[in-house]
Amino acid sequence: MAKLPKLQQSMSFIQTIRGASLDNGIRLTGEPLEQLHNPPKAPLRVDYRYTELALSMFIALEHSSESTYDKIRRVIEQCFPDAKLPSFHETKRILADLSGVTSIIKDMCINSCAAYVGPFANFDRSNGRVEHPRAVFHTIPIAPQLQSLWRHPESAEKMHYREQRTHQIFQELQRNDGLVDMYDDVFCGQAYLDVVTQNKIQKNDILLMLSIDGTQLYKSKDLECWIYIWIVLNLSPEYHYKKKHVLLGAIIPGPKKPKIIDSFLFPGLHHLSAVQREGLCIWDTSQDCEFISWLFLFLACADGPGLLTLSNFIGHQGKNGCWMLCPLNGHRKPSAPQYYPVLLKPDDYNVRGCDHPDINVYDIGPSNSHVYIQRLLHLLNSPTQHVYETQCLETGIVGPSILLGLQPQLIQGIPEVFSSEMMHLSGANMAALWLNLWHGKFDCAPTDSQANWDWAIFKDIATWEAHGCAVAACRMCLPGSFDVAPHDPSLHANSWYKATEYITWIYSLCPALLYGILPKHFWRNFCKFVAGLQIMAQYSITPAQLQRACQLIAEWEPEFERIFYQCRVDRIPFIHLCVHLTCHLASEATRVGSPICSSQWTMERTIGNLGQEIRQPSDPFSNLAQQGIRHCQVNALKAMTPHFDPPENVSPRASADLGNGYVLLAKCDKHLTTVHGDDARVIADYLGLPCTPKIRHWAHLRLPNGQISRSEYQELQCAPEDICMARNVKVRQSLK
Amino acid sequence: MILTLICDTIQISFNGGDRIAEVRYFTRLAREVDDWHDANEEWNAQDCLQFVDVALVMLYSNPHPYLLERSYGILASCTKLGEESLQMVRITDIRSLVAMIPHRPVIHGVAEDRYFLAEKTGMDIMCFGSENEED
Repeated sequence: MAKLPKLQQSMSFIQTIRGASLDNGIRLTGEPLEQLHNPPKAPLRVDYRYTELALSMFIALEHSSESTYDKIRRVIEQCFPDAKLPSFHETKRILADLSGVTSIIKDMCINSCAAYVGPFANFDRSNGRVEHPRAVFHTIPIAPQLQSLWRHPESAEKMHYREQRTHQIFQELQRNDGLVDMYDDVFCGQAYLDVVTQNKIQKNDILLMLSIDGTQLYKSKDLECWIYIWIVLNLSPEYHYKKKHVLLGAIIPGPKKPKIIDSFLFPGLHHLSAVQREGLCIWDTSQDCEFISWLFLFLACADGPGLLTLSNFIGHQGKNGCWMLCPLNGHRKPSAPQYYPVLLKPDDYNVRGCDHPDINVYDIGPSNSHVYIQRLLHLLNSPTQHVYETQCLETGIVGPSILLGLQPQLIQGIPEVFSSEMMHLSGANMAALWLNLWHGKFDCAPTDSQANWDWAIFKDIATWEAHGCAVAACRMCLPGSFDVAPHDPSLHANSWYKATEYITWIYSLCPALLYGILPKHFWRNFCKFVAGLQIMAQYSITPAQLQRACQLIAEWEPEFERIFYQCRVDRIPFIHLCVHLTCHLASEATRVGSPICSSQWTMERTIGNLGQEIRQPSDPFSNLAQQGIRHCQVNALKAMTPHFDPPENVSPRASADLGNGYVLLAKCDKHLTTVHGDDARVIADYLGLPCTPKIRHWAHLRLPNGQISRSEYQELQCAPEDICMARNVKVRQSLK
Repeated sequence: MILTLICDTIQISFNGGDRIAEVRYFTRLAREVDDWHDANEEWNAQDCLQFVDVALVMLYSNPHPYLLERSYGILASCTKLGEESLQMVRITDIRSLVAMIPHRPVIHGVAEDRYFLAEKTGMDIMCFGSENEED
């Protein structure tokens, strides 16, 4: 169908994936393949107690070296002469066998151009380019990892979360005339409810989210590595982001960004597609039954560049630059090719192809696969390179998405499958945009004058330095749960400033710190944005809050355009893509649940964590791959035999669990103490007693959200410079 | 420490919505079990006592209405109400930890020493991250 070689190549990957079957293509053979078809129908038992000891040691020493394991093993064997413990490598093999998780190894170009798979399988030999490929990469098939999640009643019970939650949501809908109580996990979204009512997802099926991210292995070195992971949405959000429940897909070594990323995604997607076609045989220990489960790819997310590798959309410079391929057409400066998602038509503007009138902000919404397919067909039919390039600009698509290879009834559709990451973009990228505005860092067109940029308050050095001091002064008042409290930004202008620092600085501090500094209407517009974003960043959003956020953002955007860009052609570049993406947030919440819930924000940490586990800087990529595989094997083992995963310090000593997630923590008075003064009066009043009983003071309280509140009782015992005022709390109104 | 409790709940919000408070300390007040039960209280059968878990707090004022309104509800600027406002709140009514940061806004031409509220954006996600895990 496709005429150009580049498009033909993409299509051949897609077609090979679409026609995948477990017995051809992927290189799972022998026992692992047999297990896919016939999962073991009994809980996993480790028979020999020394094997169990060795495995426990191996897991506990996950972050230590091989020699540590050997030393401990020797000490144990000296102390207990009867004990015969397997060696490090034997234990490693036992782990691999028990977990049933292995990797598929494929050759790749040493420069990470492409992997020699699928249509490229014979590439190196036939072209004679690489005689002996020196690089390989590992893909960890998802099916065995998923099967392990059902092989212990405790783990299997967790997998039933989706079913229970779905039931609960349908009850809410009935009770509230079609509205959910809260928008939080993806099950609240219309997209999920639709596939359920259309019977595309059944009770036993598994809902997946794919997330891909590039990561720098060392900050100083230019070593890029791409990792993709699977999030099992059947688990409750409480679990599915945790490292031990994240399933690793593949580790794509650098040193550079892969040129043909489709070829690296190929083995994993081919495997998924095969399982989608044949169904995954699962034995559920909790119900003692066997069933066929279908794997539904519900969301795919990545940061900007990563998302484009999955979607093959044109990205921000295109006329249809939106990640969601929404129908909005942007405007561009007559002299420049790049488009910007401006809603208001510039004054005196008649650039051909984008001289459309103002766009109503309420018209911004998701696109759908019908539109996508039509556009894609147009693109594929391009007879020449020149026509193709024009079509790219027109359609917003550069090529077919590799995800088209998956079984169409088991994927949400393109572009519907892309949603997330907007939280990150609108959070972090908007923070950067505000700063650029306040600093007046935009290119000033010859027809414009910075003297008119009333909002560029930080161009004045004194104001900027004073602001820096004010930010630094806030540090002492920010509790530890704010992650990294912002440093004085005026001292760190060019250095690395963490994203969380930006977010605290811009969204938590600036509304107050810029009051009276930013001219009033700019300050008001900024506050309006923050008000909307803060709602959208919540984990659970009520329908009423969502409506308010939607309205705030819809008012904010055109106002933002009017006061900054002012419909001036020379200021079109002020309106970055993140401005537009912010407008999608509210409608995305109704579609796929609270944006933060499916955001890559939290997943990035997992991916980052894996990068930190490297211990052999000489061969970082293969070491990372080995760590990754081991990580998956340990997780599978833990899922099948949870006693390898004992809960960690649930409640420390000298604590009191009050239930509902509240725990009092040390320090605590050893003896009952007499209370004096106003305290005594208040306690006596509260209890309705004539005199105050003796009490024990507690210093700390852990809240259900994980934050730890201190109290004056504790902080008065510290030196003033150590105090970070973590004793202010928000208290729920409780009426009699 | 054999106690009886009469006043069970107290009103801590006057104009609706949440209140901000500074914690002096937390404590568990014991009360004798009598003939009525409250399912929410922890049951300590051994001593025939129930605990009422409370925090002794001082309140901040309600946010300044002008700043709150002009900022679409995100600039909550309060003053400390001091000893006068000393009171008990139930621990289970504590929702989150917040920061109260001193500032000196000029409101209607007059500068005032106040505290503004800073909350962690997307804070609820805290308990879902991997930061509390083994590594």
